[in-house]
Amino acid sequence: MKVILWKDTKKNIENLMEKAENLFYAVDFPVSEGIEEAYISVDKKKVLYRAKVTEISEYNLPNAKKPAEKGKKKKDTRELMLKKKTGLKTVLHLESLEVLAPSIPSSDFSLGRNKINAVDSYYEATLERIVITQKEKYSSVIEGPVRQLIEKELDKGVVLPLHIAEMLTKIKKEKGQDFFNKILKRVEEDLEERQIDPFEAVGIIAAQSIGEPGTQMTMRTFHYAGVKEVDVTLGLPRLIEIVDARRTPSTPSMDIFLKDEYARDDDAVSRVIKDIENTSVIDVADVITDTDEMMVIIRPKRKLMDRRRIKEQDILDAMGSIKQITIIQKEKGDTSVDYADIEIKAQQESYKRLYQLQEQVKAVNIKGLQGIKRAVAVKERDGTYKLQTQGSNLKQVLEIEEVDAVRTTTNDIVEIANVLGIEAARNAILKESRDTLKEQSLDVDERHLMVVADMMTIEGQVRAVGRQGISGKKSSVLARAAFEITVKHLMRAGIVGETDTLTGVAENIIVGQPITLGTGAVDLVYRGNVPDKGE
Amino acid sequence: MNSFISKRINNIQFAILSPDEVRKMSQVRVITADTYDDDGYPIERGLMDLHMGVIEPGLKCATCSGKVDECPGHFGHIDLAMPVIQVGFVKEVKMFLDGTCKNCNRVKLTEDEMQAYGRRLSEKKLEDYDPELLTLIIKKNLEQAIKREVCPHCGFKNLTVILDKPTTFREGAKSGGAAEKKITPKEIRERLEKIPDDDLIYFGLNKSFVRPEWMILTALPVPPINVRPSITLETGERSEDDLTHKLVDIIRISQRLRESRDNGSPQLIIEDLWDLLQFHVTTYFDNQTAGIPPARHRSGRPLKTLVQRMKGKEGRFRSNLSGKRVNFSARTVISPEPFLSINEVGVPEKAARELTVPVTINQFNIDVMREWVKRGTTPTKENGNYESGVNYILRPDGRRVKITAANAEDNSQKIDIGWVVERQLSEGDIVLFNRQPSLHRMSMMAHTVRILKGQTFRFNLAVCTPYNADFDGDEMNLHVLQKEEGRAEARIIMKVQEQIMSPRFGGPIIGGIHDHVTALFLLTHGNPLFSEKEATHIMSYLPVDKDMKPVSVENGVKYFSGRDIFSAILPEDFNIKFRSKLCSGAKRSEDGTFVCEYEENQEDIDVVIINGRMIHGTIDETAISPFAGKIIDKIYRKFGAAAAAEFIDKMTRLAVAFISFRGFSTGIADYDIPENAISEIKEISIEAEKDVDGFVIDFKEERMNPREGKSVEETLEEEIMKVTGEARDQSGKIASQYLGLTNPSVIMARSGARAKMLNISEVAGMVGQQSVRGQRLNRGYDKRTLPHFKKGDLGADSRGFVKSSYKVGLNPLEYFLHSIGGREGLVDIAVRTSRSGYMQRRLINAFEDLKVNERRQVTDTVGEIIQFKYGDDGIDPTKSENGEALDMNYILFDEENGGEQ
Amino acid sequence: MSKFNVLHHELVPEHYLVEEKDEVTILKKLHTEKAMLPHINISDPAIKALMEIHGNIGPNRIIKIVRKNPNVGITEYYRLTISEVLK
Repeated sequence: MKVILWKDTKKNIENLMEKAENLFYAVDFPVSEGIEEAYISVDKKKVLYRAKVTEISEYNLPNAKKPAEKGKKKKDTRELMLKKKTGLKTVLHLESLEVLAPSIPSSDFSLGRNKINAVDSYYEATLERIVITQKEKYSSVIEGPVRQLIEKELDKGVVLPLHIAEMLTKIKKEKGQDFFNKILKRVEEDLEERQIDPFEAVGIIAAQSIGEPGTQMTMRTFHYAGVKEVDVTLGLPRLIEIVDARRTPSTPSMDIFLKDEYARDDDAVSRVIKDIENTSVIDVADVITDTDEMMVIIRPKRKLMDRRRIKEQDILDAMGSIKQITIIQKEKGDTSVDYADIEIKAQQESYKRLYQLQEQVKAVNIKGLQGIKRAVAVKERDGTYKLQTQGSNLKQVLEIEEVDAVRTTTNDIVEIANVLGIEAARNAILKESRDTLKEQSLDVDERHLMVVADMMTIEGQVRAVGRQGISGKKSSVLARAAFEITVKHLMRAGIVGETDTLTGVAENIIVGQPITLGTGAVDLVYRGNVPDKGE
Repeated sequence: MNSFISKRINNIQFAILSPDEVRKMSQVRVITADTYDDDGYPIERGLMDLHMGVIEPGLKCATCSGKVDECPGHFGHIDLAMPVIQVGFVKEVKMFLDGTCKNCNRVKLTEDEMQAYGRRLSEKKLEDYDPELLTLIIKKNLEQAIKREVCPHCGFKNLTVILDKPTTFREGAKSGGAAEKKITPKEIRERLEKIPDDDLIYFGLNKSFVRPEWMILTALPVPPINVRPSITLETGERSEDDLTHKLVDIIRISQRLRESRDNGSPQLIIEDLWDLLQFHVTTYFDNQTAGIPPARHRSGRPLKTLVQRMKGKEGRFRSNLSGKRVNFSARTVISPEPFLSINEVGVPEKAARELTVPVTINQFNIDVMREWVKRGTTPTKENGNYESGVNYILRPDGRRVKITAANAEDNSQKIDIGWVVERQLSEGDIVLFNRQPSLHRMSMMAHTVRILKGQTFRFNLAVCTPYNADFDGDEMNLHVLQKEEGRAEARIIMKVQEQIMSPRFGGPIIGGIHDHVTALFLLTHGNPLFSEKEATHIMSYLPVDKDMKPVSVENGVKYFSGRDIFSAILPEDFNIKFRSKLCSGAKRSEDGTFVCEYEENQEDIDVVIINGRMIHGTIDETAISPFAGKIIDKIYRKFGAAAAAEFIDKMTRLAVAFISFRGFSTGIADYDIPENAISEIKEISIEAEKDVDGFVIDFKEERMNPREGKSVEETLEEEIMKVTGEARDQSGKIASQYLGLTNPSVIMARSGARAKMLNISEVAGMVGQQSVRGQRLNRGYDKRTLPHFKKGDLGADSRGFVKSSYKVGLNPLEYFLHSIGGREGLVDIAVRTSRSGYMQRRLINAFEDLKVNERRQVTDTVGEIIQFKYGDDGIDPTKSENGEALDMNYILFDEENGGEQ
Repeated sequence: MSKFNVLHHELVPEHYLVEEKDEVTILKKLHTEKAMLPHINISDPAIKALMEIHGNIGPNRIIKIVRKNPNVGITEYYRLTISEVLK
């Protein structure tokens, strides 16, 4: 959908908002026919305002030097708001000017294939709008009688697992009501017996159950019999990464699935690979810093440029992302050299800036998505292709047309939290830890992993297990003292009049009294002799 | 002395000591830096004044008249000549100096700001705030105050305060303003004193507990003597504790400072002395303060002062508070004892005599205890066996009376109700038994005591797995529970039989290992027959009384089947059906039946037990070992922990009995394979080598096509490793063909007792390719692994392909390269033990406070909910069926065959 | 908003905004209070998607999350919306 997008000033917006309805706004750029929506940005990065465009007309002002005059329109004198004092070209009739909450990032608007990264002036752009809907409910695939059974049991206070409910329903049908009742009773009794004891120290048990098999896990990527497509960290180092909620894992990797219509298409697969594999300047050229001339020189190399199909112009275009520099493309003086040097000079002449510039130039992204080092296509058993990458950029990959945005995933948990939300991150923690343990042939009950995943995500963002995360947030002074935090650190916290309520385990051990978990959470009361009725 | 009211510390409030409190709690004002006089007697008002406590036996404390073991120690104090900054509070002092006005001493915030911040802070009481969040809030609050030069209350223009680490403050020079000047601690104190109470909240201080000027020290508390005891060396000299040394320095400088000040010495000298005093006090608290050189001994070793005593793994918290050395414990080497129950532990007599249990005398046990005391210290029964005696009795006033052979009789008359008798460990007592590292709760379990001759702790082998113990010299610890609650908890919750099921995965962790598996496999596989004499002999080891029916009679001799003998240890109404490890890979043939290479009879593929009788199948790892242990699992679930323990006891006895009877051994001849097999294997290795050479030539002549996304070198290596891997696999298959279930090693591998078929193929067939980091060996010399090869040699031999088998033996080159590969494994184990330990510690620390409440929600100490229902279904993983809540198949099978009733 | 629907991704469970009138009943069923509920940021991508359906969602609202548990089936979880901590 084509819309008009422009940058405006805060003051103008305030004035516009005052008027809100039936607004005529004269602007300093042309607007094509058929545009129906207007978007305005103030800070260049976010679009905060939207209005409907009901009429577009040319700005006719006989005397351009008298800006304060009301512009003459075809018929009556309408009150015109002016965007600027001069250069006005079009008058827009705006209606329903509203503030957008949440705001739309400017990158959601695109000009052709390119996204608008900053709203600097005006654009007739396309806004990708998808309607957000809820997906099909999980419960919709459960059959009626099964669901009824589950709910009936839930009313009794019994949580009946799904596949057991399914089995019971089948038994009822096949073996009759009597046998069904017998089995149901047995199931209820067993489930009740197997409930966890109240006050059980569930956290410690989870920690032990995950920590103890740790001693049996490998530290290295051993014996990788068979071809490994992409390097992935396994075993104990990976588990530690997960639990530490590392910003980026040591081997970030994505599993990219394609939409059904593209999943078997060889061309589509190669196209996507080419689009996402990242090429930065350092991949195709030598970058030399000349401290005499205070400039950075890019010397492209033919072989590397060809292999990645980069043209000189691509490098020059990419340089546009660095601000306040001058770019000089030298003449190809020496015929033995394939490409001419490109010299980059910073406007600010200092060694510090030069060093900064060198790093910036090296890292500039010419093609592909930031972060994706390599992508390889793997043929699945059913003939469809799956792409495995070295490197991860979930957000941008999910936006690619051919990509299946339902199944595509990454192993970078923090990224998942940022792009898909905290619940998705929780599931990712479960999946990653489960896979890591399974790969090592270690059997750990899912419930312990759930404790870990839930603890790491209850605050709304992913928290690491150590002293930066969960342990550091404990409310007890003594508990933090006994962990890793230096004494000075928390003695200071103790000063503000902090009280330690001795509710946790560590502090009670220090003080030397029974802990508030398990048997320490209950008191035994002696009832004494209950007199007989007869006495 | 017993107090029968149990009290609980409810909470601990932290605050700062004010100088008034320091003086109030002090018992003596220390003036002189001298410690002892010429007679070795502590000097009055010196650092070792008796008012502060006693370290030498014989001396009495001047404050509380207690002797060495009674006096808890008392504080003293030093009045410092000039105030000094407490190094731990430097950041806070700066915060105050930055945020308040020098002139009017109010916080530099406008009324509006104060209202806004005040409101934000009053949401909760200060202490309820998460400390990190609180720091952030305060930082934000004070941003404005710090930036502001002009005080909004009095208009005074303030100068910036700069901190020279660690303890010097300067008032900064502003352009055209006053020159930089050092602010003395005295001035700082005066400024802080004037800050009004109500402004304190904006700095995060609670006005009811803390005044900012207390952060500058005027009265320094002197720790009691027993906190810094002096040591007497062999030479007779006294060596003072590091803290005492530091206090000596402090007093000396403080004295000099006082004298100089009173004598009117030049300002510079006073300043220097003051700085020196500050240095000493700073170092006294923290000798590792950033920015100043640590104070050292004459020997050069840095002193260990207050902060160092608290920090780190060896510090007060981690080494003396969270974990302590304890009494009533023992430790020795462990050795196996198959004829003990899994719940028992064999304790050496020597240990039992030292470890005691306190018994409080009351009207019901006074007679028994009298007899007990009479026995003395080393009683023995008539047959010479151990009997427990008594070591001490405790009078109600707390005095301890040592019992000896001489006074035993007398003391037995003296005891009365209310006295406590410390009796020695006896049969049936409950103790905690533990092996370190204690990674899970099964590393510490309760056992009942059996007192045995010998020097080692002994226990049933089935319990090895949870402790992760082997008998190559391991030691284990024993703790004797002193109180009745402890003993009750141990007996009911911690007993070994209660720990049979592991919370980690819902299956048994105690069960038959190694020879147990081999024995029961041999007993039941193919259902061998035993004569009456043989069967009786085997069953004589079992505490069962069963009517056994013979399977056949030949020549008048009754024969009994192995499966029936096994069934003797099964409970009566027990039903189960499962597939053993032997036939776990049974493939389904076209007609739907399963085909297993070890059992011809379709019937024998599964283990089936109905009503306590084993009808067919083979007992192996799947049936009775930890992790799988289906029989143990089901017995535990249906009949309870005691029954499961009984079964394991009987099972281990049966296994040991049977294998002792039958005998089991292996030798090198067991790995013999026929000539043609050997030559076939040789062929394979030659072929493989040729292939590898072929790849190398292709690579060198640039004919190799790289795989997608990989370099040529990577592709070459992959191809080679594929070929060598296949070679080993193939040779393994050939060797296995000739080694069947009559071969002891194969029996052990197939039954799951020990080792895998891979190990056997390495011994009989070919060892195969060695690897480091997943690659063939490539490190060593320049472009080659060993100088025996040419540079650039990429052939099979050169990179660690071992063609020989262990039986034939490795040649020197193969041997060396093999040990390189083997070393990697050992290093891996070493590294992961420490990393895994650290991870476990962090996990435990983060989750230790979680508990399940009555509604089976998981909450933390505050009550915040983590899970609305534990595991979403409330099921205890220990009681789960390998993760699943129930095993429906078993329920159906069980119900169909008679069920619960 | 971007070009894909966060709520449809297989790792993202169902998110629903609990209407204010239902809050008391739900808290009663859970035997708890709002302060004890787990948190979710209003800047969370799933919440942002919900805002497209329901309009702006402020802090202190209850979100109902329906998860798929391979062992148990369908389970419910609740979170309280909070605004980003002042960092």
